[in-house]
Amino acid sequence: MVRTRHAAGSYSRETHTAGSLSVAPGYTPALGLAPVPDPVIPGIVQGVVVQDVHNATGDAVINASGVIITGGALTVKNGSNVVIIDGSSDMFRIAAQGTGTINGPSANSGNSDMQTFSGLGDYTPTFLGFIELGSPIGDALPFVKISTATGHVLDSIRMYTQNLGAGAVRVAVYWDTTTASYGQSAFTYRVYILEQVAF
Amino acid sequence: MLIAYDSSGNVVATLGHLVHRDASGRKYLVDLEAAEPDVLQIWEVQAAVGAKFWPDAVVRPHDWRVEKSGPDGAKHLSALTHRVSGERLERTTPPKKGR
Repeated sequence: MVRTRHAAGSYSRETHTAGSLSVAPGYTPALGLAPVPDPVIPGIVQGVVVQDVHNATGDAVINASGVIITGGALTVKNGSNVVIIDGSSDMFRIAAQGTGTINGPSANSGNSDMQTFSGLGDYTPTFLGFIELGSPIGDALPFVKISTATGHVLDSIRMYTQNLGAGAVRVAVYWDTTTASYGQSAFTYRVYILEQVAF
Repeated sequence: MLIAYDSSGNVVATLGHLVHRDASGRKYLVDLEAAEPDVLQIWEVQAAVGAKFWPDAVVRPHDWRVEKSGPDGAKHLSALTHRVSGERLERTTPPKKGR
């Protein structure tokens, strides 16, 4: 049995068994009783602000810097108890995100646009690319428009990434058309440069 | 974000997020405003004549045109003007001192 100090200066009688906590209300100590230190309660703790929480070996830490797990795994489950993040699968980190403009070419010709992102580090990049087309906006690249009458490609918009070395990655977008640029003078494209990382 | 613009001030590209690695391999998020003076060190856009920092979120940024102000060599983006409607967005946060 332990006693816990309450804000109003009264005390409650508590019974602590195997991680659960029950409180007998209405218990008031005799006047002059020395303050009782807050007990250490394994199990559920409520209404307590702490600056640093960690397990016995310090491999799992929650503090002002965030949540740090070393040599373990962060497991996230959805409401149906399905594991969404399992702490073992590789993931993609977004190293860069930007947009650009690709101007529409005249019939039977092509245009291109390029950007270079530097300082990303030494790894093999991959990417996701979209053009702002349709409603809701967002068509993944490559985008190919094919004639339903002839089966020929009318418009082809592709994105490539090229590792230039020394942490630099070039993104190139090409638009070829046989018609009149899909009726658009330009498209905005969006690119994400991704880095594969392991837990 | 960083906004790249062509010779007419039209927005041609944006950079919203960039992660760098230092010499020891540690990753850090690039302060895009601090990187503005040497933007070509981190980002180069073929169709652009310049790129500067804009502190606010913009829906469909490619629909806008940039306005610059400040002395030569230390200009900053002061407003965006919508290419079609003419609507003007004033910069809400002044550039950092020394810019």
